[in-house]
Amino acid sequence: MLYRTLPEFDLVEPTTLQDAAAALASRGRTAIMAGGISLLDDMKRGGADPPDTVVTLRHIPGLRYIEGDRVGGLKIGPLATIRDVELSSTVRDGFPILHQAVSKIRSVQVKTMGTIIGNVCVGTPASDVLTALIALDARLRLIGRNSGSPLPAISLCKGPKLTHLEPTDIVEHIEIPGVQGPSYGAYINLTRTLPDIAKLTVAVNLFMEDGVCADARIVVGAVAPIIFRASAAEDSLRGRGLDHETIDRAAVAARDDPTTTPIDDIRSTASYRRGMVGVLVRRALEAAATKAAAA
Amino acid sequence: MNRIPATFYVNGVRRDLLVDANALLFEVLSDDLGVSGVHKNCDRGDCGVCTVLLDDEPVLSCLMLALEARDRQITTIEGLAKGQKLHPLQRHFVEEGAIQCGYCTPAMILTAKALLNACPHPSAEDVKEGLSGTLCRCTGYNKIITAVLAAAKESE
Amino acid sequence: MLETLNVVGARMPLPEAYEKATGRATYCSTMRLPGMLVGKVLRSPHPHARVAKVDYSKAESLPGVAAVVSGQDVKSKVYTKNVMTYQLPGGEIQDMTLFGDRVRYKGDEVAAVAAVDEPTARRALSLIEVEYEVLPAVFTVDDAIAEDAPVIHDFAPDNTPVSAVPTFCYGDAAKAFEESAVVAGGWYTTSKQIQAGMESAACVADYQHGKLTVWSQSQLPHMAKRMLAHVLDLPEADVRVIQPYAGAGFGAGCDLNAEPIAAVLAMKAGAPVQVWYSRDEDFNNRLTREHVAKVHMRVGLAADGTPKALEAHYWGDAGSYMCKTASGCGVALASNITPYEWEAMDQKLSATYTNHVGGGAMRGFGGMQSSFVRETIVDEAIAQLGMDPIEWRMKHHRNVGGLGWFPSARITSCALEECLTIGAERIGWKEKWNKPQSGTKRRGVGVACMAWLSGAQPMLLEHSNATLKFNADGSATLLVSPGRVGQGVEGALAQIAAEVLTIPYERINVIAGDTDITGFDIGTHASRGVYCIGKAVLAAATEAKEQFLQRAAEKLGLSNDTLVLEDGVISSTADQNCFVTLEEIALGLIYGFEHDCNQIVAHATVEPEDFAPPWQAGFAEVEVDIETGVVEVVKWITVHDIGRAINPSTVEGQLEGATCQGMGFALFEDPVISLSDGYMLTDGFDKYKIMSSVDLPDHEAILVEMGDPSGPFGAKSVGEAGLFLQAPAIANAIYDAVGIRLRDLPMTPERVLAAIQAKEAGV
Ligand SMILES: Cc1cc2nc3c(=O)[nH]c(=O)nc-3n(C[C@H](O)[C@H](O)[C@H](O)COP(=O)(O)OP(=O)(O)OC[C@H]3O[C@@H](n4cnc5c(N)ncnc54)[C@H](O)[C@@H]3O)c2cc1C
Ligand code: FES
Ligand code: FES
Repeated sequence: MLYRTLPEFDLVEPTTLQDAAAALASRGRTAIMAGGISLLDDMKRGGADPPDTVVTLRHIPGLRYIEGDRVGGLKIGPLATIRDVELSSTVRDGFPILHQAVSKIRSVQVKTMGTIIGNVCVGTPASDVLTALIALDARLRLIGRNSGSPLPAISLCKGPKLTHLEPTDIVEHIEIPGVQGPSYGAYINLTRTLPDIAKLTVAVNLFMEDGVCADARIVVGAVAPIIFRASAAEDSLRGRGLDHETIDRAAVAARDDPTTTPIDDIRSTASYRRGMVGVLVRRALEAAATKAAAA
Repeated sequence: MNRIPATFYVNGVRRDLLVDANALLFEVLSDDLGVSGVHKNCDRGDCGVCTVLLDDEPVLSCLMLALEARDRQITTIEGLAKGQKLHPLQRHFVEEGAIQCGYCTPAMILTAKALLNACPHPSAEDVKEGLSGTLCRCTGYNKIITAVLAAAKESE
Repeated sequence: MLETLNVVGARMPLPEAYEKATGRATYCSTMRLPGMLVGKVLRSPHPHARVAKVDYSKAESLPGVAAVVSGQDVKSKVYTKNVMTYQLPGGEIQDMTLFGDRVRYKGDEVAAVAAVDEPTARRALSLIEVEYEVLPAVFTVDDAIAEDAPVIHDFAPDNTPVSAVPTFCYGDAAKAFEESAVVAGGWYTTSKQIQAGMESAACVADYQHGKLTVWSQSQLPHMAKRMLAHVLDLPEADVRVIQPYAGAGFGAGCDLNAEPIAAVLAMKAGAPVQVWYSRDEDFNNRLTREHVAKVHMRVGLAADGTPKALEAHYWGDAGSYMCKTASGCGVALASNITPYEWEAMDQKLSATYTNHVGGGAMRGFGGMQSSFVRETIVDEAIAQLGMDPIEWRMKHHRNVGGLGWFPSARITSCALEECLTIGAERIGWKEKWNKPQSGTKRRGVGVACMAWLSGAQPMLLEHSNATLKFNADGSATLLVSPGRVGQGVEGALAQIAAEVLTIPYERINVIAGDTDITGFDIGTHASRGVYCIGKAVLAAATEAKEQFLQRAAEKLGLSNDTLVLEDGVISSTADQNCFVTLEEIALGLIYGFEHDCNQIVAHATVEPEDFAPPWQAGFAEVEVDIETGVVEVVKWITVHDIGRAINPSTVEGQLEGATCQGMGFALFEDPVISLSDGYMLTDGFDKYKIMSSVDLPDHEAILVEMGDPSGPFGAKSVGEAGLFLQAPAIANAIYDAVGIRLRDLPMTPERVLAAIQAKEAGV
């Protein structure tokens, strides 16, 4: 040994989810590892309380899956990688918002190692993946908790990189409800260089009935401590056709939403981000409206 | 901290070691197994110069525990040439002038190899997408892209 | 047209490419010597403080720790990491002491340890007890020049040791401005770009039997050796600098990094020590681009476009140590001289200390900042006169015999007009320039020009040596000492020697990277490699050729001037059958049995006189999204007056790589320094973005080869040339698209959008 970047810890390698849960429950400061790229990065950055036990999921068979379809709904397992999702034709055809969002992550290495669930569990407000999943009304099924009702992705986070998950929680899968009628979505983000973490993420998902917007989800990331739905903007769309004025009004409502509280950081400025919420929401709605009109 | 006996298959050669839980794949390769062709820079996933192939898939050796790679095939740049005979990617990198400082080169060639495995007839756009996780500060990528396309063409 | 040659001008693979492609190449960071220790530096947590006491006794007694060093272990010598100081007769400002009693930025060196492994070294660092008396600190030039600002270096009570020094002035600028029909100008700011090579700073030192060996990424190894000998108080003969390959330079190898520290540790530990910066350590402690923080410039043009006057004041933010900031500003000013025929120039520079990491040198040293400011202001003035920016540049650039970048230098060649013509055609200037745009996405084209240099003569000492030693089979070893940063110069030098000697490229074996073996050389900076070292190689090869001819003449019983050398054979011009091969001569001079052995060894020393400016025109086509401020570069073209491309592939590679760095400087490379403690907030590649392959615009480099009378086979330089023009040409293209003038780099979407909105609001 010459170089060693990580602090010391025990590695536990369970072969069943039950053993994993038991290991998490019986030890001190624990962490689950899926792809490990976020976890190890955090540990290198030397947070105050690094875990003394890391529980890897890699040796548990059967966790790498993407199952289902658009109508019946989709389940994504704990070891399904971002790359798996990007290459899945089920996702590309049935859940294009998610496909577009994961394609914004550029590095093949990151996509090969990183899992979808790992991405979501980090809880960053700039996650492309979580922004898209909220627009798809995804839920997290946790082992041994909320057995009847999985945790909605929109309710996962309480702050930047802070989730409602306990260290003992294991996300068994993410489920995306099936969709019966027509829906039209779009995903857009803004970055400095393309592989960069986004300075703003926007996903929209519109449900149309007879040329009228029956329901809408407008999701905005990186402009508040957590990713949120611009509810006033969504309300302004319901029951209306997707003409320019309606779209503009919704975009302004998203920009002026009280939850839109961007900050200045190395990636952008608060005022720019706020302005861009309006522009990107409008563009995403226009893209979705164009698809709806073409259908 | 626990230590676990582990077997690695590095460029087809079996290596048995006792490995600390917290050892990164990069650290075991470069310090314990004497693989000098694997480089490291950012340590955070952003530059890709630590890339190796794990069962033919490109992974970042700076963000993977060595133990997670056990019992698997690890390919480093040392595993590509056969004696003095360069792998087509290596040869085209040399001939096209796609190598300047060379610090990114092992990773770039391995990333390109993974790309060609998945996509044997790539367009220039495919090559750009496929290589975007590995940064090169020197070349401006043009000659790298040409070299990868030439290597792909050769194997047609 | 230049005559066609055999080896020069061919696309040869680089000698080192094979090692690099197979993972066999050694870098400082990949070295693993037997018994090697890990060195780590204890850095100041305060941006400005007096170091009252350092107690490392606990660290020293930690098992696995081989050495701990701090101020008490070194002779307190004033020095600078900027080893280019030796290139000026009076030197540059020297303001550092190793582990001194004052720290001047958050990260400054306080102590260091060497231990058997990294965790032990880290633990040892945490056991060193330091008492600091914290001092007030300043992080911007404006704060540092305020009345009550804390004094950062005692010898500079106003923090500005270089204050409004007039530099390269001539003519009556005031009068020339009065006679101008248009005057354009203003305040500009540019960024402290990071070299950001893929290898972080790394070095290894070993000390045995009174001799110190340092493996370094230095681009200037002989001067690095001299500085190490000075700091460590050793005779130069006892210091050897070896350069493994460096994971890029871009100027980051012009200065020392941890070499003195690794050396002190190795001397105390009695074992080799490696110091390898982590990426964040590198971002925050390695000297950055010379930081020309603010520029005020004005230019005046007569009604017919005649360039009247250029006036400028450049203000460098030196950070904690001067290193290359003042000279960077000086070079920046010098680089304004060559391009256009100003009637008068009035330029001055200042450089101020602040409490963050110092500015070293980066590729495009000073010229980057000047080309951005000058070329955008000139564009503005030309637009006010309603002229075509290409035609104006065609007409008003300086030409052969005209004033060079340093007042005593003259222009030896200029192919700018060819560059402009080719580029304009290629980008479609006539069809695209000055066309009204509407809609959300608006396109524009822009052009910018520059003239750079091939070595820093006559301002700086530029001294190169080359030695050729012949083997008995007529192959040769070429000893030279450039930086080994991937620029490909070693191959080009072999091509020059092979061309003169008419032997195959592969028969020249280049040996570089060891100060104990090679002759003195400045090394690699100022785009000097092929031109300056190339001149030394050319001279050595010519001298070797003379020796061969002499011997052949003796052997054949003919006189020198009746012989020709072709394809490794010397023959009589009168009788083709009367010949002798180089191989036969070389053999006879080594394994000769007539007591006349005399191995052919040719040595040459050069101090070039000319600066042989390469000229260049850069063309950008951009698309500006007026709602987001995002600028997409649709097409980039560099047309470069190289004189002669010794290896066109290498020349293109230099230009293409530089294009990406220039785009970064123009659009997104943005080091952010904390205003509360001076720390570099952008301390990783997640925060400091450089171009990836998916960000790459369509770009190409076109070479114009018309020769330079002073260069080896007509060659001029290319090392830095490729990254000067992206910022100004893109800025000018943005103006063409949306009518805004940007004065701050990088031109982020945030800034572009703010400027568009200000224009719409009529501000
Ligand atoms: C260079 C780089 C670029 C990136 N770019 C982007 C980008 O552009 N857009 C984007 O959205 N993201 C981006 N990311 C983030 C990336 O997608 C995530 O880091 C990755 O997906 C995390 O997955 P993982 O499997 O490695 O997670 P891990 O590191 O294994 O885990 C992450 C966290 O989730 C917890 N966890 C993992 N699995 C479970 C589970 N089943 N149950 C409960 N908790 C669990 C872990 O304990 C840990 O806290 C980038 C990351 C890197 C390194
Ligand atoms: S060193 Fe592993 S990604 Fe940069
Ligand atoms: S060749 Fe230097 S980083 Fe790619």
